[in-house]
Parts: sequence; structure tokens; C-alpha cells
Amino acid sequence: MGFKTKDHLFDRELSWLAFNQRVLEEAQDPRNPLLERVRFLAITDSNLDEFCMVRLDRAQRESLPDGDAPAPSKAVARLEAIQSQLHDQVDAQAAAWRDELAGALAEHGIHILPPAEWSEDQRSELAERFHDQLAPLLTPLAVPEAVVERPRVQHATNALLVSLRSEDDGALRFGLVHIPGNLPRFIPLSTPDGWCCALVEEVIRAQLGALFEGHRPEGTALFRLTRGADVAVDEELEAGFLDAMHEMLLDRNEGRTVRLEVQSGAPESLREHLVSWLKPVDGGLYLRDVPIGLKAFFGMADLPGYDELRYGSQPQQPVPELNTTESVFDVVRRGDVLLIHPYQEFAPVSRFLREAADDPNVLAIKQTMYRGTSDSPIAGALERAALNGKQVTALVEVKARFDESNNIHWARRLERAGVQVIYGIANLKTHCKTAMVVRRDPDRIRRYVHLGTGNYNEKTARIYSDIGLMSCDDGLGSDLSAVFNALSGWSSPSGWRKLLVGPTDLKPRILAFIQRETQKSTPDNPGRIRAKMNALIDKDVIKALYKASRAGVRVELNVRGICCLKPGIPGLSENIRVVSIIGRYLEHARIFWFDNGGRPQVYLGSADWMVRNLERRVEVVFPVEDKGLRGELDTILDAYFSDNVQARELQPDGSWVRLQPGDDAPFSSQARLYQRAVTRAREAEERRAREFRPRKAADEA
Amino acid sequence: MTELRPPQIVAVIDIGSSAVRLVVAEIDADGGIRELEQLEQPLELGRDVFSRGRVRRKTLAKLISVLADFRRVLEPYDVQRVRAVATSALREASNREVVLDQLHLRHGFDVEVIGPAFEKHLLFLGVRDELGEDFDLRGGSPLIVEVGGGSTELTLLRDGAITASQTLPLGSLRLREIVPDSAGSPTEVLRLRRRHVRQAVSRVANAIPLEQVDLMVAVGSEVRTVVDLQLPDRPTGPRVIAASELTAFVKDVRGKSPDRIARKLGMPWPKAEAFVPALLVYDYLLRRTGAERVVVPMASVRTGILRELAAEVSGLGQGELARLPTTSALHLGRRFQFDEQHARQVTRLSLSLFDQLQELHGLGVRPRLLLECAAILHDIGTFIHHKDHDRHGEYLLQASEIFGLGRREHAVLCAVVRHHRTGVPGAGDPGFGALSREERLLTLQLIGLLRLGDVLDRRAQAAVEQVVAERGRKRIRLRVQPAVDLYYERAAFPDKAALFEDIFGIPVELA
Repeated sequence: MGFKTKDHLFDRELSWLAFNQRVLEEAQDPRNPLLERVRFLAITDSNLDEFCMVRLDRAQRESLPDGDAPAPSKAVARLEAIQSQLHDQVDAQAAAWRDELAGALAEHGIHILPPAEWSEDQRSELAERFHDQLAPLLTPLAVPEAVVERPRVQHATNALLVSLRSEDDGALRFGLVHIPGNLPRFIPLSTPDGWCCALVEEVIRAQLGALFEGHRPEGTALFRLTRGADVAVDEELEAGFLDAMHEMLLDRNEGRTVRLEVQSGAPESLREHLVSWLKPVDGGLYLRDVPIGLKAFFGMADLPGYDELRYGSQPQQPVPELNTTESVFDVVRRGDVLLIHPYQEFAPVSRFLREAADDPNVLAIKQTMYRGTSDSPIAGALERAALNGKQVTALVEVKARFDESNNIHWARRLERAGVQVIYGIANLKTHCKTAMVVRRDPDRIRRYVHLGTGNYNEKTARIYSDIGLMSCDDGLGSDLSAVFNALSGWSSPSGWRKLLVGPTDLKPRILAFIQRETQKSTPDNPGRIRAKMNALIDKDVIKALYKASRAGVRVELNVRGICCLKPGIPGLSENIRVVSIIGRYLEHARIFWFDNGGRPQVYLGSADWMVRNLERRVEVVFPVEDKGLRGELDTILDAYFSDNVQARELQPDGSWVRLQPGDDAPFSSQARLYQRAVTRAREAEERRAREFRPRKAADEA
Repeated sequence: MTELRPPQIVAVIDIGSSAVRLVVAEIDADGGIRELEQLEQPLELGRDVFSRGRVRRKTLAKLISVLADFRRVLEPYDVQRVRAVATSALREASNREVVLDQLHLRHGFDVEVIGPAFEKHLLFLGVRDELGEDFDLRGGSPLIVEVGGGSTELTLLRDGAITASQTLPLGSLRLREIVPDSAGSPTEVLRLRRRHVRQAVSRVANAIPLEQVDLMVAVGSEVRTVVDLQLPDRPTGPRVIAASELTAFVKDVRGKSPDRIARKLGMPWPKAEAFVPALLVYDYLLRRTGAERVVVPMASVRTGILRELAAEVSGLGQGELARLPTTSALHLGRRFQFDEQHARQVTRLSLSLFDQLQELHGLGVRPRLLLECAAILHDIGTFIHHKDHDRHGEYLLQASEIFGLGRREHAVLCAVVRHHRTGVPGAGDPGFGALSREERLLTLQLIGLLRLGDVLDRRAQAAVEQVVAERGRKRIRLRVQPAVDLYYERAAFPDKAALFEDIFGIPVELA
């Protein structure tokens, strides 16, 4: 069968928009707690920022004419489709706030008061607040006639364009005030009951006269500009690479204006002024009748008090195997351990590294860091280990999009402590999440590894669904050593024993697994593939899955975000089912399960089935070989494919249909997995309580 | 030295024609080997040597920096022993000594340039060890083939022993030097390369009966990659592939550009470039043999060296494997029609003295092996003429291969044979003078022991059955059994024992 991209794949940007639409649905869903709905709304906005900066920017560049040639019609049509859906989504997002959430919040006493409703007392309170706390942080700028003399408008920052009448000569001038992202968005107002606030932009707008002395503000336009961000750093220049990144972060001003959001009530003249100045691309102007930059509403979702408007607390559960005073090394030596976050604690991972830092038998520690946090206990452990004279290697990926500032800070700090810091490798982003401790045990040297699907970040480990494996298996250890040697530039990557390592042989192997399933599949014993990932885009993998489906392999996919595969199309993919789970926790673990003729193999890892992950990133996908742990993963996968509360199923036409319990009992995978973690922890606790443990002399001390 | 010890850490550095490699391993008291680290850095020494005859300064600088990285890998481990070897490229480099001096100076690594015979021996050790009982190499006629960057090593086995071996000047790199990509269209280049392989193999065809081969043992990273790609899983041990399957695979990829191979097979660029040229060699050899199966082990020269190190560290010999040089020496002796009875008698007596005087000389297994070989071969020069047979023996030996000996060991062996008769060798003697200080001392110690063994069979009648060395405080007294008439032996004894007394500082007399 011939393969046509147009016929056999969904467009990835449209599929992304559909994903964000699913998140928006959670904001719209009255069954969700109110402040969580606000949070989902903020997530959609934050997602859109990233989408516009990167994907929309790229789609727009692709649709530009190349030299004198006419604009590529396919790319233009595609861009139009994307923009049309984008505008619809933005409108729906605005409606969700305006028509549902704002009112619902008010019913619970949470109000954002527009200036017209400010009382005299509140007005003077805000004026005082402005002069004391806001004004010192604001920089009023003149916007002269000559374009070259105009100030640079900051990316993704709310700003006010002001038309000013000079009190001296009556001339009309323009001024600009950025509203820095570090100002609080909500300025609380004293109120007899409930919680009242004013938006910071309104407070500033009301006091503009104080910023532009000698001028009278006549009109204002609140706006926000998004630039295309896909600026490639010249990775050849190894020296000063950090500085280059730093600079790029400070003024990400190279890109074109891919989006210009302007408050809908702004005077027409100011709006035109903005358009002619900032020159948004065609279709890049968005008039908003809701607060611009809803991303900041994360702050509202975290409003103190009001816990009844949020999800009930789900304290992270201990990992039973590691919930002891015993050394992590001793536990892992007895057998592999799975850590299932966020249901289970992330603390054992930090403990693993802390123990390693102080253990005199530990020879070396190696770790990849991606979106590490500067105050992380892991950072502290690595620092201490280096000071204790161990060889410590940290790979700090500085190309992690949009999060570079954190990482650079981190890197410098570790370097000062004597850690060998590697800033990734040219042209390849390091995406794997792995740590290794080389330890001299009494009988031999062992390598203790932690392989994960998520970042070493205690904060995200509370929200992201990720899985980690701790093991001292020789095959995993020797492969991981080789990965680190390759990352250090000490060795070229080769000869993996157990890991699938991108970009070397990860993709050929994934394809080989799918192919094996296809070849082994018979009508009596159909093959089976279950996979969970964030995105499914890679064309070769999708083709292989279609082929598997045609050979009768039952393919179940759990794809949170973009899915370019078209499921359920007769003769192509009728044996493929795709579901997506959007819920309280961010689905993040990648799990790949192959039936292998009744001898299942399960892999976990950091790689999505996207070209980017399979071919252009350093990724590590690892097998879970322990039978018991594989059973655990089976249970997790079963839960994902039985969900009828938070799951949506992808239809052959590209739409997503929310699954309903119908006559079945409602089943939420995330709720079930939390329950399971609680049960396991409680059972372990009960077992411990019943154990007869003779007290040893050492216990008395 | 055989008492139990905690695991020891050893490292092997292998400087090949197209890559530099490092293996760090832990060796248990019982000789078990666990590899801890494996590194490989592409470095095309062969590209310099095969085209210009020498290693360029830039390449040497790169080599030094690669070894600096390797040293960082060794840092956290308490490495007890590092063995560094170099193969075909450095072997042929005219500025070899400069390179070796630099590596010593910069990193303190004493790199041993190993000859093709030793390389094949090490490979054989590694292969034997890995295939173990799963693939009995004792039956049939297996051929071990290793295609490297600069050379292809062929080793034919019969009854589990090496019966023939050849080194072909063929390799993934050399083939690209001889027929460069610029030689014509891709099809033309492929045709020329295949023709070159055919010609190079025909040149040795009568020295090694390829048509008798019934199993090919293919060693090397390229062929390993082929097997890796055949299966989604990666078994860790040796794997078997049908000859037809390998041939079909080669047919499929040989027309593809390195770029396509790199992308399709997820291979780093330097490996992708070497991939097809190396496979052409395996493919052609396979077609020339009658083998239907190809066994692809993980073994390499490095695993062979690890085996040797394991034997040293654990103090456990490896049975017949360790005796490979001995077997080889006996074969050589027979080729030169030596007096086998005398040779065996001298060997027996010398080794007996060596073992009894262990405390005195403190030498280990390898020197013992050298003494054994020297005793076997000491008189082969008589093949030319009895007069000056020590001199004849030296050059015959220099021109011959002893399997299982390193290049330096071979040099020591030659010097021992050269000076086994009389006098004290000095710095002016070419062979002896070229040895290092330690090697010279070892040579003198071995000569001292060999002369005692030799003199006890002065009449070449193998009359002495046993010799007992009684070590007193002031002298060593040798007692022989049965108490035969030792008139001739006694007459020559003082002269023959003089060197021993000088070296070990204790007089020795015949009771």
C-alpha cells in the first residue's frame, strides 16, 4: 500500500491543538474543582505560548516564499488551517474564563474587580500600593517617531502602550511601560468578605500620569508580544557556549512577531500603532476581551485557603522496599525496585545520591540533569560528593527549551565544587534521565543505577506521572557507563547490552520490536503491543504500526499529546486504538510493552516516538526484567486502557471522544494508581508491624 | 602467589588502526573476569601509516588526548595493572619509537607493539574462552577471521590447535586507502574493492586451505553489528548466523553510501564508513570456505589479554592455553630437526631448578614460560651448523613466530638462545643491547638457569632423572638421581655455573 503523508497521518500541529483543546475541556468541566479549572486554563495559555514561539513560528516560516518563488501553497494552506483553529481555541479559552470561571469564582467570593467597581477606599489603597511597591519597578519608556530609536519590546510580557498629550506643547507622543513578570498579577483589596483583587495592569493604568511626568495619558492599549524562538545557537563554538546561551535568554529578540495579543477595548489608533510598529505576521493579531496572559492565573489557582475548591490532598506514599533505615544499596542489591511517581515519593532517589555522597566505598557518581532546580537536594549531594573526593560527573543540558536560566545557575555552582560538568554534546540534546553510582562492595565493584522517565526534579515529581527503576544489574550498569563515557566525549557510543540508546540504535530496535510482533502474529495468537508516550509522530514507527495492525497485531496506544497516527481505519489500522489521559497528574512516563509470543518485554524511558527523540536526542530506554516488576507495569498499563473517566479516544477523523462509564463503574486510572500506592504502603506497614524482629545489640545503642 | 585475594582491577588499552580502545575489568581470585568499562574512540592511525608510512604529528596529538581521557576513566578505580598494546598500524609506522616514547612520557603507558602471531594468539585465547563448551572448536576445521582496520588475521584450527595462520594486508581502512571513494562511481569503487580482496586472499590461498573450513568464527565490530541487527534482542554471548544470511545482508548493504548506513542503522559516521569495506572481506572469505554457519563472538584481542591478565593476577594458569607457546616452540624445533630428547631433558631440568629456586629468583609464570621455550629451542642453530649454533639459533628464531609470546618476550627469548653457551652478554651485543634494563636482567637470570639444565645433559643421554637443589646458607648444592657417572658434566660445570653465581650471588656446586 502506498503511503501518503496527507492521507495516512494527522497533521502534527493540528493534533497538538487538539491536545490543548483536551486540556481546555478540563478547564470547562464543571466536575473539576473550581480552582483546578483555573489551573487548567492557565496551562492552556502557557502551552499556547510555547506553541506559538516554536511551532507556529516554524509553520509560518515554512509558508514564506523562498526568494522569488511563489509561496508554497501546501504550507500556506496548512498555516491557514492552524491559525483558524488557533483563533477558535483562543476564543473558546476566553469564553471559558468570561462566561464560566469568572462568574463561578465570584459565587465563591473570589472577585477580580474592574476599575469601575473600585471603591474610593480601595482606590487610594491601590494608589498607595502603586507608589510604594510598583512604581520603583517600572520603567516608562518613550516611543519616538523614528523606528530605530524605539525601545525593544520584551517577549511574552504584558505591556501598556500609552498615548500622551504633552502639557507643555500639546503634542501627541507615545510611551511604553512593561509590566515585569515578577510583579504580582493580583493586587489584593481589603474587603469585608471573600477575596478581592485588582489586576496589576489596571492598577498601573490608573496611575500612568505619575510615570510620565508633564504628560497627560489619553489612551492606553494593553498588549503582549510573542516572538518566534527557534533560534539555533551556533554549537560549534564550544568556548563561551554558556555565555552565548545566557545572552540569548536575556534578549530573545531575534524572532519575528508571531503573535500580538491586544486588549479588545483598546483605542483603534493605538492598536494600529502597535500593528505598524511590531508587524505581526498575517493572522498574528489577537484581540482579547479577557485578561491577557492567563498563564499568570496559576497564581490564583494557588490562592491560600479555598482548599475545598482544589483536589483533595493525596500525600505521596513511601516506596515500601525503600521505606527502611537500611542503606539503599543493600535494598537494591537484593532486587530491582520500581518507583512510581507521583503516587510514590521521589525522596528515595535523593536519598540514593545523598548516601552515595557520604559513602567511603563509593568511587564515582554520574548523573544527567535536565531541568534541575538550583535548590535541589540532589545538587547538594553531588556537590558534597565532589568535595569528598569522588569523581562526580554531571551532564547539565543547557539547551532545555525555555528553562535554561535554571540550568546555567546550577552548572556554575557544581563546577565550583569540583564536579566535572558537561554541557551536553553538539547537535544533540541530552534527554535521558539517569544516575549511576559506582561502589566498591566488599566482594566486587557494583554499579547502582537509577533510570527514569522523568527529570530529577522533586517539584515536578509531585505532578508528573513518571516511573524510575533502581538496579545494580551488570548489563544496565555497563551500558550506562558507556552512555556517560560517550557523553563525556571519552568514547564513541557502541555495543549496548541492554539499553536502547538514541540516537544510535534506539529507532532501529523499536522498529525491530514492532516488526517481530508483526511476524509472530497469527490469527490464533495475535501479537500485542501496548505503548504509552507523550507524542507519536515518527513516520517510520507509524508505518510499522500500520503494518502490524494489518498483520492482526492488537495495538493499544496511550498518547497524551500529539498523535499523527490515524487509528481504526479499515485496511490500515483497524486494530489500533489510541487513548489519551488528561487529568490531575501530567502523564509523562513512556512505557513500551511487546507481547513477544507470550514472553512479554517491557521497556521504560525518556523517548517519545518522535523523530526528534529517536534521531536527534540522547535518549535511554531501559528494560524492566524482574518478573514481579513487569507484573506491576502490566497493572499500570491495564489501568490506563480501562480508564473511562479521564480518557479520550482518538477517532479515525482526528476528533477525540471522551469515554463515558456507561453501565460500567467509573474507573479513573490516576485515582486507581494512587489507591494502589496507598494500599501497598499500608500493607507493607502492617507486615512490618507483625514481624518478629529480635532486637540486636546494635539497636540498643 | 596463589592465595585468595580480593578482586583486582586491570585495564587493557588497545591501539588499533582505526580506533583506540580501553577495557577496565575486575578479576576475581578464581580468575573470573567482569568488565567494568569499555571505551572506544575512533582514531585512524592506519590512515596515516598506510598512506605515508608514519604517524602524523596531529594524529599523535589526538592519540595522546584520547589516552588522557582514558586516564580519567581509570581515575576512580584502583587499577593494579595496565597493559597497553598496539597492532598493525603502529607495527608498520616508521616513527613507531617516537610514538611509544611520547606515550610513555605523557602518560606513563608502556605500549607493547604486538606482532601478528601474538595478536592471533590473543584472539584465539579470547575466542576459546568465550565459546567455551557451546561451540567446541576441537572438532572440524574452524577458521577464526578478524578484519581490523589495517589487517585481517586468519587462524585455522584443527583438533583445537592452530595449524595454519596468515595475516592479510586487508582491512576496512586499508581497503579505503587502496581504493579510495574517489576512484570512480560507487559501483566502480565497489567492484575494485572486491577485486582487491579477491587478489589479496588468493595470494595466501595455498598457505591456508580455505576450502576445508567448515565453520567461520568471525570477530570484529562490523560483523557483530550485522548480527545485532538481525535480532531485536541482544544476546550477550556468541551468536550464530547462517552463511547465506550474512551473504544476503552484505549484498543488501554493499551498494549503500556510508551516509545512508549511518542513518539507517543508527551508526556513528566513522563506523559507517568502515562497515561495508570490512564486510566485503568477511563475505569473500566466507564464499571461499565451505562453512555454512558463522559464529560471531564478542571476543577481541582485548578479551584475550584480559584472560592472560586474569591468569597472572589469579596465579592460575590456563592449562593447555598457557602452553600454546611451548607447543609452538616444539613445532619450530621439529622444523629445524632438533634433538628432541635433549631439548626435553634440558627443559625438564631447567624448569625443575626454576621451581625449586623460586624464592631465590622470584620470577613469575611468563618468565617460566620463556625459560621453557628457550630450553626447547636452545640448540636449533645446529640445523645450520654446530659451530656458532648459538648465533644461528638466534637468527632462525628471529625469523620465526612463536604463538603466544609478545614482541618483547620474543626478543628476550632470542637473546637467551643467543647466549646460552658461554660468556656474559654485554651492551655491545645487538640483540641483548636492544633490551631494556629489566629485560636484560631477566635474560641473564634465564641464561643462568638454562646453562645449569643444559650442562646436566652434557652428553645428551638424558641420564639424569631428577635434580634436587639443596640450598644452604652459603651455597646451593645440586644432587642428581640416579647417581650416574657425571664426568663430563663435572668438567664443564664450573664454567657453566659461573654466570648463575654472578647473577644470583650464590655459588652452586654439583654434589
